[in-house]
Formats: sequence, C-alpha cells, structure tokens
Amino acid sequence: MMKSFLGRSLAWGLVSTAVLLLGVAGCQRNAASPHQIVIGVSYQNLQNEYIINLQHAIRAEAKKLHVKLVELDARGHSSSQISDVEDFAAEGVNAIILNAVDEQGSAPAVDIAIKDHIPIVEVNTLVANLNKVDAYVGSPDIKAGRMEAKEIMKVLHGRGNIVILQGPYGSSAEVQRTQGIKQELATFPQAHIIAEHTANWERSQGLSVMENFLAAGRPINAVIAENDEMALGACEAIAAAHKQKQIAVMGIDAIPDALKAVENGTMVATIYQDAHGQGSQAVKLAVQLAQGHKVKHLLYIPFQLVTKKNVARFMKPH
Amino acid sequence: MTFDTAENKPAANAEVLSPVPNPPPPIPPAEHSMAGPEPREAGRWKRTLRLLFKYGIYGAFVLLVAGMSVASPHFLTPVNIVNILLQTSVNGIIAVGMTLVIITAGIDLSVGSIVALSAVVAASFAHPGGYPLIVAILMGIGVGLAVGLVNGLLIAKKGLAPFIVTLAMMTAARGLALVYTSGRPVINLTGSYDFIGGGSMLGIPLPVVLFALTIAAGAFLLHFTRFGRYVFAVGGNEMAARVSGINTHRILIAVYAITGALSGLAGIILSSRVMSASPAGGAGYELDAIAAVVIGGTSLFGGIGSIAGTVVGVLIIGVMNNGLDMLNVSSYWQLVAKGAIILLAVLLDRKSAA
Repeated sequence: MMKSFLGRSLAWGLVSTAVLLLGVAGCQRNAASPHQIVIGVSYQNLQNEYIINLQHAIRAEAKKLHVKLVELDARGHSSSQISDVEDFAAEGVNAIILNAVDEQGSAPAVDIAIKDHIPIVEVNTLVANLNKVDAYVGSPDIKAGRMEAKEIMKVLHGRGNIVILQGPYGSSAEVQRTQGIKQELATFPQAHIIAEHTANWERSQGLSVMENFLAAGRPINAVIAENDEMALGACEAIAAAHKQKQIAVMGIDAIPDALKAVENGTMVATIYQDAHGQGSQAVKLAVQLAQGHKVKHLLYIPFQLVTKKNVARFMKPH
Repeated sequence: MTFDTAENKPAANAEVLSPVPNPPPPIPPAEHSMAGPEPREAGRWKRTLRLLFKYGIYGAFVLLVAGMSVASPHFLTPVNIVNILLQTSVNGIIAVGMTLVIITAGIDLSVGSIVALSAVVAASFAHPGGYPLIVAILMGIGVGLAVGLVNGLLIAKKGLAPFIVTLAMMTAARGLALVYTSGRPVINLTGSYDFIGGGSMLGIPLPVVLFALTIAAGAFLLHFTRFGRYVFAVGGNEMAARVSGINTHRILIAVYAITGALSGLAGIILSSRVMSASPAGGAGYELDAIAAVVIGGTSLFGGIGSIAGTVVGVLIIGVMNNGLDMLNVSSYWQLVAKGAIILLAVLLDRKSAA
C-alpha cells in the first residue's frame, strides 16, 4: 500500500515536472515577436568539442542578428536528425541549419525541408544531395586530409612509413579525410602506409592502438591522425617508448592541448578548422534566405595549417 | 535457456556449501555415468574433449598466446607483455566488479558512464595549483561509489530489474558528465596526476599494480569470505538465500557499490593515462566488461563464476586487441573475431556446465 502510493506519487511527480518543463519551453518559444525570424538548428552531436564551438558561434551570431534559435542535438544518429528536421517543419521555422550526421543517412532531412519550402543551409559536414540545399558553408575535409599528408611529407622529405589513425568508420569526416590523405600520399612513391586503424576520435584509443603498433617492431616515421585527440593519444604512446625524435605526429582541429603540443614540439602541426567562421556564416545565410534573398550556393571557409611558426596566433590568452 | 538455469541452480548451492570454494567451472558428478554406455574408443575421445572443455577457457588462452607468439616475434617480449597488462587494467578492474554483480544474477550497464563521470570529476580536482592528488582520487572513487549505491538501493529495496535500473543510470550518469563539463574534455591537469596512470612501483606500471590488487581483493572477497558465499547464494536462489537468513538486500547493495567504486578507479586511471578526461569517454566499456566475465565462464543466470575466469577473459580480449593490431589485421575483421571468441566461450561454457 505504502509502496504503491510512493510509486504513484513519484510517477505523478515526474509527469508534472515534464509538463512544467514543456510549459517553460513553450513560453520561451511564444516569446518570439511575430516578425522575428526563427531558425531551427540540427547538430550532429553536441558531445564533440568542435560542434560545441560551432554552436557557440551560431548562438553568438543569432544574438547579434536578433533571430531566435530552436536547437536540437541528433546525438550522432541520422534517424533522430531526420525527426528533428520534421519537428522544425511542423513548428514552421523560417529556415533550417543542418549539420549532417552522415552523408547518406541525413540526406532525407534535406528533402523534408524542400518539400515544406523551408530554406536549408548545410554547415560543416556533407550530405549526399548537397546540390539540393540552398547553401553550404564548410571546409572540405578532403582538403584537410591532403594538407595533413602534404605537411608530413614535407617533414619526412617525401619518404617513410606512415600510420593513419582514422575517425569512426563511415562518418563523413573520416571518409573524406582518409580519401584526402591517401590521394596526397599516392603522389609520393617512397611513402608507405604501413597501418591504418580507427581510434574513434578518442585519445585513449589512439594511445592503445599506437602502443600496439610500436610493440609490433616495424619502423614508423609518422602518424597522421584525423583529429587531435587521437594524435595526442599517439604522442603519449610514443613518449612512453622514447621515440619522440623518430616519429612525427600531426592532427586536425587545433584543440588547446594540440596547440600546446605544437608549441613544445611534441606534434609537428595541426589544422585549424574555423568554427566561428562556419557558424556565423551559416546564420547569416539562413537569415538572408528566410528574407527571400538569393545567396551563393557554396561557401568554403579555408582550413589553416598551424605549425610552430604561427601557433601563437591560435592560442587564446589565458 | 530455461533448461540451462534449472541445471545451474543445484550447482550453485553446491558452491555455497563446499568448504573450499573451487575455481570454475563446476561439473555435476552425474556426467561420467552418461558416458558409460558408449564404446570404449569413443569414451576416451569424449573424455579428452571434456577435459578440454573443462579447462576450455584456460586452454584457449594458452593456445591464443602460443599462436600470437608464432605469428609475431615481438608478441612475447617483456615490453609487449607490460603493454597488454596496461591496456587491460582499466577493463580488468571494472570486470572484477562486474563478476560479483553477474554472480548475483544481475548486470551493470552503467559502468562505462560511471567511468566518464568519475574521470571528469576527478580531473576537475586535478588542475595545477589546486587540491592535493588524494582529493582528486577520493572524489573520483567517491562519485563511482555513490552512483553504485543508488543502483544497489533501487535494485535491492525497490526490487527493480538490474537491467532497467542500470540502463537508466547509464543514460543519466552520461548526462551528468556532460552537464558537469558542458560537453568539453577536462584538460590542463597537474603533473602529479600523471602518477596514477604513468607511474610505476618496483618497475611495474601503477595501473597494473592496481589491477593486481583488485584481482587479489576480489578473489579473496568472493572465494574466501562469508560475504562471497552469500554473493553466490543470492545468485543461485535469492528466495532461498533470504529464507536461510542472509540479508540479501545488503549483499546486492554492496556488489553494485563495489562495482561503482571500481569503475570510478578505472575512470581515474583512464584519464590519468591520457592526462585529460572526456565526458564521452568509457562508451561501450560495459560490454567489454560483460564480455570478459562471460568468456571467463561466469553464468549470466547467476550463482556460478570466478575471478580467475574473469581475469583470463580480460586477458583474452586484451591479447586479441593487441595481437591483431600487431599483425595489422583490419579493424573490421577484428570486430568479427571478437564476436566469434565470445560466442565460442559461451558454447564452451554450456558444454562444460551441461
């Protein structure tokens, strides 16, 4: 008796909290003035540091332009991204910013927006039906891969044994970056990819994969990691094996720890992807589209190579 | 499935009553009479096979190590052995706790999220010029212990299914880790924090020492104390255990709390090894731990299991990861191989228990 009473009040408590939360959210939404532009933003995964930076840029620009944002996180699943965009369409937002989870899997989200005549801007990643979106803002990942391989080849004078640490198999960034790295390395006949392995963007996995490769005893001259976290993990393994002098490591993203590693020479370079540029441009384009203006279809924000020479420029003052 | 459970229960009680608890897997004595009517030649063949099944997992481990040593001359070197032990220490420490949980016929899906939550909390107390190292360690283990206690209380006192409670906790603890860090990794850690993951004692890396201590404590607790016998009893038949005067609630709460605390320790080691703590870290660790426990012959139906088996399970997974990487086997195929090993282990286990 007591138990069921407790259970029931707990259940009612939960339900009423949920209703309350919905109410608060509803009020916030209604607070938008009738003429204010509302933009729906669907993020691929807000557990990724780069996407969090992108979110900050989008929020800052939206505040500046006095537009209202409705933000949803697909948590790495294209299926939830599609339903997020369906929700935007049902709410009647004025424009959508899509940060696609998956090149193929997120393509239907674009079709939903087109069917409901809502302008859609793709930011940061690629979708298969990119020709259908109203605008694309991003930095082509193939280019980042090529830049990485090129810089490593410069350091190694065009020859050596190379390990590639890849992102989660099938993710847009992994596919494009791997393609770029291999395209560039193919132009150096004396460069050999002796191993390629995923470390799922994680530092701890980069560490253990690299430990195993080092233990295998084959000479390794360079590690090309598709993000900085994995590169930093590889650096830990290399330091433990006392091979810092023999192996050049490079990553992508220019996260604070990687900038520090470039500064003190642990990593030879990283690549800066401009979250601020991507985010603010995406919001600007979405607003222009919502107001009925025509915009340029493709807007590339260039990647920037970060080496010891220019690293100070990328480090925020503490 | 049900057939299997029915068979396992009496064996579990035997384990409880036996004065010297034996490592696994228990074989009902009825088996030899079953082989009786077979022709002599076939009988011997069957006996050899049974022996192999009896030490199935241990035999498989020796075979695996032998195979890898032949395939790569660098495999069985001191450097690589330390390597494997280092890499398995995190999963191993969690798996020791998971063994206790699974012997009570429970499951803990929240360990991976606890690893992340403990890691970010511990790391947040390890910035330079902040608190002494011990504070970070106690905070990390304390958070794990607290989450484990909540799991245990809900399972024991409310009678909720462990699968559901820990599934909910897996989601909630991950969310808390993200809330606590705003989704960003905790970086800029003080140099002394490196000691836990990077330090060594008498030449042995500290994570390996901690793993060894956890194994010793776990094996002692499970196989040589009254608490351990009660853990088996709760898993064998909870009702019978309660009727015979065992405080089953206390046992259940304790095993989830221990697992939580060990996951907290694992989180500290993980973050210390890479000198950063990611709120997204530890994803999927629950499955690695469960796989190790199951490979080690612990029954998911409860009442049967051992720490020794789990350690071998952990090592099998570790040797596979390490060896296949060294042989440069594609990571796609590595997943297939891991799945096959788990299935094989369960099949061996069924044969030896049947």
